[in-house]
Amino acid sequence: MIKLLWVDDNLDQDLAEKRMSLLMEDEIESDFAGDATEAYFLLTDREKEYDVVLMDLRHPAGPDDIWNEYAEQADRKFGPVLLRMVKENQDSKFNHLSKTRYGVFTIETREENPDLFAPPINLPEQNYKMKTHAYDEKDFINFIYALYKS
Amino acid sequence: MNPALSPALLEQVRAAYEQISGLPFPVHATLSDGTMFLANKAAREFFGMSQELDLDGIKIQSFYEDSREREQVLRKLRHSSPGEWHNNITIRLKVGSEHRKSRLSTLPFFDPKDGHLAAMLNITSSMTEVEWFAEFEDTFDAGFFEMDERFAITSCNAKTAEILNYSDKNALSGKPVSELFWEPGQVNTLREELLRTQHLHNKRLKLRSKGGAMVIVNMHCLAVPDETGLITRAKGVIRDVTFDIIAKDVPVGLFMVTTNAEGEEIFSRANEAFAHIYGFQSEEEIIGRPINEFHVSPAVYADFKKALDEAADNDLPLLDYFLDMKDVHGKKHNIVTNVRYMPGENRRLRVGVAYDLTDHVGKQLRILEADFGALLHTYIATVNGLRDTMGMLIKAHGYDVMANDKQIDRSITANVLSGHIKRLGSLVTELEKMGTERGVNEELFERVRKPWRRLTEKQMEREKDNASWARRNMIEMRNALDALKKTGLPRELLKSARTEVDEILRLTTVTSLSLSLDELNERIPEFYYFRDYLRRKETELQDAKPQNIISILLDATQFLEEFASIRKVAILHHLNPNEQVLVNCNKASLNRAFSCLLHNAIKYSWSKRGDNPAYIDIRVDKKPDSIEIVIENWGVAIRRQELENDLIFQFGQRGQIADDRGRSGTGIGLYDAHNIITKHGGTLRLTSEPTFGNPAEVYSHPFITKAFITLPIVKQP
Repeated sequence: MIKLLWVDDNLDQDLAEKRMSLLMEDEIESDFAGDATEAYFLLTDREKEYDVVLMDLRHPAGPDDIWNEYAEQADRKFGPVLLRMVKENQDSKFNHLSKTRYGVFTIETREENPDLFAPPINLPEQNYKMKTHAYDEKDFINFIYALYKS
Repeated sequence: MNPALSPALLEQVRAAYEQISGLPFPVHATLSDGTMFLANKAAREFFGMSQELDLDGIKIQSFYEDSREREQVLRKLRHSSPGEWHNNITIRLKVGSEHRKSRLSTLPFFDPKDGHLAAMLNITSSMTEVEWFAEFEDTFDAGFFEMDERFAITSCNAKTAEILNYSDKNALSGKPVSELFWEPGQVNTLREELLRTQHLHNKRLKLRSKGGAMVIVNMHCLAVPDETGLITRAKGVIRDVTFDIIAKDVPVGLFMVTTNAEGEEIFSRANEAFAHIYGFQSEEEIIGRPINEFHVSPAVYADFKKALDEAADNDLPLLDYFLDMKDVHGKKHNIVTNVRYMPGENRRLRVGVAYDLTDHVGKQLRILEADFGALLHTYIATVNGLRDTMGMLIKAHGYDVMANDKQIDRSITANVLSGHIKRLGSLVTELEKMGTERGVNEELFERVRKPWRRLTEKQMEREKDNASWARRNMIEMRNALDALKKTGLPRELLKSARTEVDEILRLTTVTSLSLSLDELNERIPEFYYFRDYLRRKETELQDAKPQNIISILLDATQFLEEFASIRKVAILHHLNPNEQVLVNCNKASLNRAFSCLLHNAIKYSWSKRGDNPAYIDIRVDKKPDSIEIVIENWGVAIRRQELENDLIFQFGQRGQIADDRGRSGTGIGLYDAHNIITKHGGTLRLTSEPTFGNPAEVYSHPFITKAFITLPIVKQP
């Protein structure tokens, strides 16, 4: 069973059917987060040792005050903030996620996000997928399996 | 006489004096304390003393205009070598009532015992004004030069060399000035002009410096012609004005900002182009003006200062910074600036350049807006067509569960659906029993069981997800039932199960269509608003007409009723719909402003308690000269600092909590509404206060947000 966390603020809109397709998969157990706060609390939950975390790049902060220092961040790019946070705290707060594979599912191109492929995030190139390149449900599900095997 | 002067030294001085006292110049000898003890005839005349006067008691400092000057002379001589004449001492003397600028040539004598300056032999001569000022030639901040009849440089000062980028003034000696002209032929024009007038004032010349750069100078020149009219020599003064010209003529704003004693930042220098950007005719008008008069908002200025300080912390200038400012007439400009603090001024002085990109940005933006407005218009048309189609599909397939002409009753739909699911459950059980009896392939039957298990075991939180979940599983079950047709199971039983599956598919599809139609209807006011914003015309009050503000407000309210109904927000208004309150206005613009404020109020509303519907409250208060409209809602807060800094009225700025529960928005509405209302001579003010008993800065609690709009009314005769 693959334990998945998918962070995206459009899960109830254009991604609603992809979300349902995940639920139809017997081999995948999914949690969903619509903003950075929800994601943060799921990621810090030590009982949830996610195998795969799939991250959108832009989403709202959510209500928690931990994001205040990013208040002026106009582009709402909390995906990289979360990934950096997790990777930089692998020995403490997020040590239960040391074996987790991370993926990015976004409308943006790789070239727009060079930081993702550099330390501390070090995202493998093949774990980055543009939404337009996995529009089909099957392609999307295959991407999740590929992340798990990465 | 100074008793300390040894006879031998005295003899030395006397001997030196004797050698030169016959020269036709004033020669005198003094002790270090200033006592004059030798003076020839010319010296006695120079100092206005009779030839018979006993020198005893005559002190040279009594002839100094400023006695402190003598101390400076002594200081120079103390550091000189014995037996060496000093020729470059200039002093101001006073003889009787006459002031004399004088030059001293002095031979110092030192006491061999202690090496102290003991006496000096002096030749004094008067200097003309020209000679006096010539002393400063090399330190003066202007170039002096002299040229001969061939227009070749005969002499010049160090500044001339510096202006022309020569390291040594002697390097210019003998150089034809034609070699120094940017256009060598211009030397003939200069010669002709000098022949005509002999005295040129403020003549602008383009010169070529060593290295090839152009140097533009302002020149004053005096020519000395002979009796035949030919120029025998000419002399002049030049001042480098290259950068003055660049600063004046370059089409870029140059400025200097200084912090004054009160801590206020003011423009302390600017060129004309900069003054024009700020709406002034000349630079003089902007000098001394506090820069905060031109800020769009304190927050915009704070952002700029923060960026400037961060750059300075890294010892860098702030480059290509985009800044919105308003000119002296209140017109907004988009400028880009490069700026840095001057070193050693403790960040109290900065210099920079500014470009006005308003027209450029405005032009690009207008093209973009027009294109996007047209695209959005087409998109809205497509969405409206889609809405109609969805409405028809709902009517066609949800005929038995319709709530009204447009929408299904989702509660009835859920009940009917639940009945079909229950019946399908019984049929699946019966099919399973018969399948076991008739030995139907277990694998085939598991294909029926699996979607059924999923459907019954997992309940989604959201209605939309439940419908989708049921539909996906029913599609699988429909295929599984079709596969069972070739087994020995009763066809009627299979047909009944298939009918139930089809009914569940129909009802879940109708539910999904209904929910999606609501989603579209919820979004469509934002699409309309944004399209209207993109296609707007600038609000010009001269095009305004007196119109009934109450009916404009009611139009906007009516337009948002469907949105309010989907959001389950009631619109309460306390106004008389038949009242006439005339406001001089542009109807389309004000309608847009009201729509935006009402839309925000509805969008950011929460239900107060349990199932009680949320509501917004609209109040109108007519005053003698104005009308005040207050739109109040109860729900998502606006942060205090966002209100205090007017951040909410900035273009593209959404409240920090505006995303609450996935609420979308552009960050343009409040900027636009504020702009429209201000242009109508009114005001827009927002408050957001915690509900009773809640702490002021815990924004996850509900807040009461009020928009206060005031507009001047037209008095009816």
